[in-house]
Amino acid sequence: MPTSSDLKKRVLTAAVFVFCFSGFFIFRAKRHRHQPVIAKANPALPSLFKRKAFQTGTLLFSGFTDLENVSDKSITSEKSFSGIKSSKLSMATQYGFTFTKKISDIPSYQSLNSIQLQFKCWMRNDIVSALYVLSVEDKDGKNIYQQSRQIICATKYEWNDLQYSYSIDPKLLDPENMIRLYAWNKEQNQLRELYVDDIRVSFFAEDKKQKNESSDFTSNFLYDFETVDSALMVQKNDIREAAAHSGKMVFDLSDAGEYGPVVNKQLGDVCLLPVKKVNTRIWVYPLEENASVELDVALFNAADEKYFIQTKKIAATLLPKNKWTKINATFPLPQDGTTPEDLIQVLVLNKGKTKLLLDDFEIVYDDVKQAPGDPSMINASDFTPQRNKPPFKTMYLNKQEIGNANSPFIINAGNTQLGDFTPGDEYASGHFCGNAENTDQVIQIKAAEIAMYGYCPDKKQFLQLWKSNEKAFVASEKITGDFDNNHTDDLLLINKKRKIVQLVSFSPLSNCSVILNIAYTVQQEQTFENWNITADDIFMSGDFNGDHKTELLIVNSKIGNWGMFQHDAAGWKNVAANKMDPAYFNAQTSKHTSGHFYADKNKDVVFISVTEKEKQTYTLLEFNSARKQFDVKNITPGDTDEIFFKHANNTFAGDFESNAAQEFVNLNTDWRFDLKLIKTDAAGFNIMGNVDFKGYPADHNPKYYEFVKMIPGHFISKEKTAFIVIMRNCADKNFNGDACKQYENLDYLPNSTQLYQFEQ
Amino acid sequence: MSMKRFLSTYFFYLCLCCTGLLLLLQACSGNKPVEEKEKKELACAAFSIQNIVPIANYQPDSTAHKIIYLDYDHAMDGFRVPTVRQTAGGEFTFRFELKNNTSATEKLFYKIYYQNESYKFPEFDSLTKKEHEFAEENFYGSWENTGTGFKEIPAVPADNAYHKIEGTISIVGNPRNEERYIQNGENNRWERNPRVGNYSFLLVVCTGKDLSAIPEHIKYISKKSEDHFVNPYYYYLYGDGKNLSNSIAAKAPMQLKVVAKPDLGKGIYIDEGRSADRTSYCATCGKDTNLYNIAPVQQFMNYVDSSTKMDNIPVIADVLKDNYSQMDYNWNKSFYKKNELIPIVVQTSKTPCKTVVSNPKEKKIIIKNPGTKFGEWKKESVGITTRHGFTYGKYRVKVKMTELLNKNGVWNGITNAIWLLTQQQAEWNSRRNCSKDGYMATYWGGAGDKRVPVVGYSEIDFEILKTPPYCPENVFPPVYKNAQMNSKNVCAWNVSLPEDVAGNNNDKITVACTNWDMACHEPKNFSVDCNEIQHNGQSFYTHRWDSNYRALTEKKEESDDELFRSDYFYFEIDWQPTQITWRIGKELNNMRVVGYMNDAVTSIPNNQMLLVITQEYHNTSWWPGAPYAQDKIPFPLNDITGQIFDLTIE
Repeated sequence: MPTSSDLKKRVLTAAVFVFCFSGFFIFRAKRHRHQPVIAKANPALPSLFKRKAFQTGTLLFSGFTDLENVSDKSITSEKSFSGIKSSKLSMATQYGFTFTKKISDIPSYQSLNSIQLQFKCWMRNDIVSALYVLSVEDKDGKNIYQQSRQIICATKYEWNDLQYSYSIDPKLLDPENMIRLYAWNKEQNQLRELYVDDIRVSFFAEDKKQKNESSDFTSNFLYDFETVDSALMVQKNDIREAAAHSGKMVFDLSDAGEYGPVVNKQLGDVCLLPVKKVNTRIWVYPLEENASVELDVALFNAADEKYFIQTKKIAATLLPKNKWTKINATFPLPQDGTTPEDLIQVLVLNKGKTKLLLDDFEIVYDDVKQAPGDPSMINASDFTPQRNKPPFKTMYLNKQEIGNANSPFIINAGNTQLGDFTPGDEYASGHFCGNAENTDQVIQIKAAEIAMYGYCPDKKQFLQLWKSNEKAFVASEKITGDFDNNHTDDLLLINKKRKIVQLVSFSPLSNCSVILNIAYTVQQEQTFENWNITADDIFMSGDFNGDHKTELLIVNSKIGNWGMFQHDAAGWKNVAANKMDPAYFNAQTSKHTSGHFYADKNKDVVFISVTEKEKQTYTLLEFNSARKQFDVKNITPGDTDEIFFKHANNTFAGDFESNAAQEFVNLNTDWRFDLKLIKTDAAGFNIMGNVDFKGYPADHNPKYYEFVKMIPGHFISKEKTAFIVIMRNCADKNFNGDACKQYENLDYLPNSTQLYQFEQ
Repeated sequence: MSMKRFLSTYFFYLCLCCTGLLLLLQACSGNKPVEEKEKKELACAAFSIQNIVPIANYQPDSTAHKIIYLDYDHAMDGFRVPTVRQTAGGEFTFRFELKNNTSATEKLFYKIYYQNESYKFPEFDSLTKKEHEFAEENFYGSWENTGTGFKEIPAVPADNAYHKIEGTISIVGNPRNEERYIQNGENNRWERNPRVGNYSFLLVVCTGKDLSAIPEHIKYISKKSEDHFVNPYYYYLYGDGKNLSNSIAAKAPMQLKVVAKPDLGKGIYIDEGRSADRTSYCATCGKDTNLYNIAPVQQFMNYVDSSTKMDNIPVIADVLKDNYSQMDYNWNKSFYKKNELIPIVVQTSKTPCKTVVSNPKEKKIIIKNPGTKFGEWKKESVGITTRHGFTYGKYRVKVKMTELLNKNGVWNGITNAIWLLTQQQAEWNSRRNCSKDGYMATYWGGAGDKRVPVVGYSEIDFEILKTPPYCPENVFPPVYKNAQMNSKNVCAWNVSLPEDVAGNNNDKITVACTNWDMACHEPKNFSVDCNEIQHNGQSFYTHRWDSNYRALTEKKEESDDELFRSDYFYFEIDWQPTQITWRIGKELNNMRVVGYMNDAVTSIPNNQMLLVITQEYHNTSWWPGAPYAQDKIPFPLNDITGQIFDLTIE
């Protein structure tokens, strides 16, 4: 039995033990919080970053030599990567094998933008003076340009893969000039041996798509540390919760550690070359006096050699204790010699080694952006507009009030919201109802719901005139025209699969207040006289023969057969048929639009645009009633880079400015929202101007939306064509402008449906 | 009685006694320079003088200070103070009373000097105990004919009575008749116009014996001593002149304030070339003899720098009125093809008088950057300049220049500039020698420009535009996000401005205050980058890009609405020999300092300059960090108007 004094001793011992043990934990815990036991790895080591190779553009030409059949005084059989020979630089041989190419021998040399050199390299010792030189000589052999890269074979006594890029100034692209690439032992005394083998030289053109559309790049980065970005994974333990500049998390240097966030990227991942500069910002919260922070930017080549560094240091006087202070810095980078593979490192250094917090680290990699197109040739001080050459006048579509509070619904008044117009829906417009104003209505086909809307001038609103869930509308192409010759338009539903058509007619509309009382008839399924409908058929409507009736023109796009039909009580009667060059109607390369484009012609004509090898040719088809054949006339666009129409869905014929003859409005959203009003004349097409918008709310210009659909129609007056403009933004990650799965309403650019008409 | 009470009771009598004693001492010593108190007698052994009135024939009711406004009529040859339109004969009449203290008729001599007191270096350098090295630059003079030394006073009888002595004096340009301002035998007094500000008058009376002791270069102010002029105020008040036994050098208590306040309704002169388009000439603007003689300003034609060619977006808009937004700017910035851009150089008017108007009724000037029509692509700077140069002065303008930002905070591309510019880069107008490394030779050259001891270029600016501050160094430059030319992603092209540029409100513009010191390294605190300078408890940051950069700038962010939305606003450049202060304010009595520099940090110009007021289109590459690029800003749809209501130099 333990005595009481024993007990006391044991209690005391236990107490001491418990105290010490708990103290140990407290001590450990404190150490854990402020002094990590494990020493931090240097996060600024570029070797921690896994690199990848980049494609530099369109390959024009590539040359390769394994040096086996080359006669040159540098050639040796001492070593080789392939075969038995290589090119050797030594103290005795200053220049290695020279690869030579005359510029005129490079296909499409005019677009040459960069040269990529790949070779194998072997060396014994560290050298600093060996260079791989690109030189350009003029026709007289005079060296007019030189660029060099330091040869760094990272692993000694082994063959290394090396790759260098050289940018080429367009000024050097004289066809008579000569390009030479060779290794050069610049400081002959410093080099013992360097072997080069298997040399590939590739000539690249600028990738125009990539150059023009930098959308593939994310060059703005904000690290607010709320989540750990992959770029900062190595340093994730430094990101902790604290009184942050924004959010809850900071980059915690309360241990006075030296390294703040270190962000490594490959240049090819963040911007186009040449990279112009890096802009950075970080917020600093010194926890004690004498803080000093430095922002650094460094470039590393393929061998992780640092070849460029710039720093900006902010002294303590500008970093007061217990206050968030912003540091901005910009670092111009070398404009020459960088490659997409190079590593760019942006880091924050705690130079004062004082306790501090960092937050909201922003990095912007600023590249040299190039707008598409060739430089302007106009003389601004003595400007004479030239046909179909920019700059064009700006014409305006004026917003018309339709009382929908600019919502996406065509009707949005009181509690009524009808007609959620989206660009993904199908629309047909025409003078379907024969209303008093002789204006057009629009039919929206949204999945299985079909509805017709018409503009009521008294109310300055659209009204829903009719709705249906008629299935025939859904799986069919639609063509509008007054096929039954009753002065109102019909809708022809074409079901190519079932090889039938159905004509839909609507009863006259008495007045605006009548809603949903329109009768409509869907005629029996019909076929055509002497024509079997196929999937290759293209349908167009118009008064092609000038008889004031609407004809239906069907062309087989594969073989060029065409048939022209008129509709009467007996059905579809063939009034003409023949064959033409199927290229005009090739579904992939041709687009067409028809209309009454010539005031002096009493009939509609068809314009065709054919795209081949990125070039457009234009053709006019005019029906010759005497020959019952289409006369084909080539339209010379003249000296212009403009594309008059490329996308049939976005070419709209109408009475936009005058109703003597129709004009067409062409919308091209390949690169930007580009809307042009085009008139036709004897010489072809004449661009009247760029079309912009006026009267929209705030700065919600329709052209700013990601996805815009325009539906033309005489919605307000029978004299002038207006546009229902459907404006949406798309949340899809890689939205390409054609289809959107998920629309997105942005506060600063809310989705909307509006009506526009050219100003008087 | 407590000491305090005693002092307060008898202080007045004490002072009186002391003053009397002092006067007695002065009178007895005779040669002491004094500031004559009204009706107080000054005496030496040989004579006494009293009642010195330097200006007796102008504003007779003002006995202490008189104000005279410079007469701009026919002043192109130089200002005279006064002119024949201000006093009879175009002279001030001065007078004093003289008493012969001897028993015989005395032969006495006198000379009157004047000096600008507002803009001068002190005559005496307390460190070297010698004449201040720049005191010779002070604007002082005497009789217009510098061949006249001292004038002999008609014999004053020994009758113990005061006799009135009268003469005339006028203030003219080039009062020392310096060769520097004489070209082709013509004395171009306008090249050294009288300075504005207060003038003192120093009367010196002496006996023949003393006269012979006065050096020639003091008697004749056109003469130099050891290749330098000696300021007579120094000589008499601090130098050897103090020791003349029978001479009195008395500074008159009355001062004359000279103010330049041109009537802006008097017209605008056009200094045209032969090929000028005269279709807009009118009675108040053009080139004729009358306007040459009376117009205080002429149209200013900015230097057209062909290297500043821009490829401008082909957009015509009224940024201020059309609700032009940041989004509009972003779209137009990103989505024009190269072949659509308009290659232009910022221009000046080819039709003088078309964009500047002098309104005689309201005595104001209106300037307009003209609107652009399709095909008539132009960004045209506009402005006026004064025609009469001055050295130093407090230049204050009351103006309503164009607003720069619209309600969305988007800049219209205009820089409102109120600035002083060298009147001519000629030998006569060279700045003081830069003794350390010299000046950069030209204002347009690069860092490799040669250095020269003297230059004629000088410029002091207010430039107000949308650009961020450079200082302190941690704030510059703002980090602008990259825009991508991807119309399928609004967020890619419609990038927002950083907070420090857009801020909580979009109303901030920058008032940049600059002195073009041509990179003279002489100032003891010459420096590069950002450096703090304190003035009256205010901190300013000066900024210079590098040691060869020719200008030192301070920037302050201000409200565009406050400066340019109200009916008028005052801007003031206070150019003094050793410091420059920039002030702005809604009211004259409530101006605030927005910029300050002194000769410790920058070389203050001492040559003659003109005032220029312009609404300019700058190439924004001159302003690193500017959030809006000039070539991405639309051509103006409408005229952009500025009004100049008043110009005062004092």
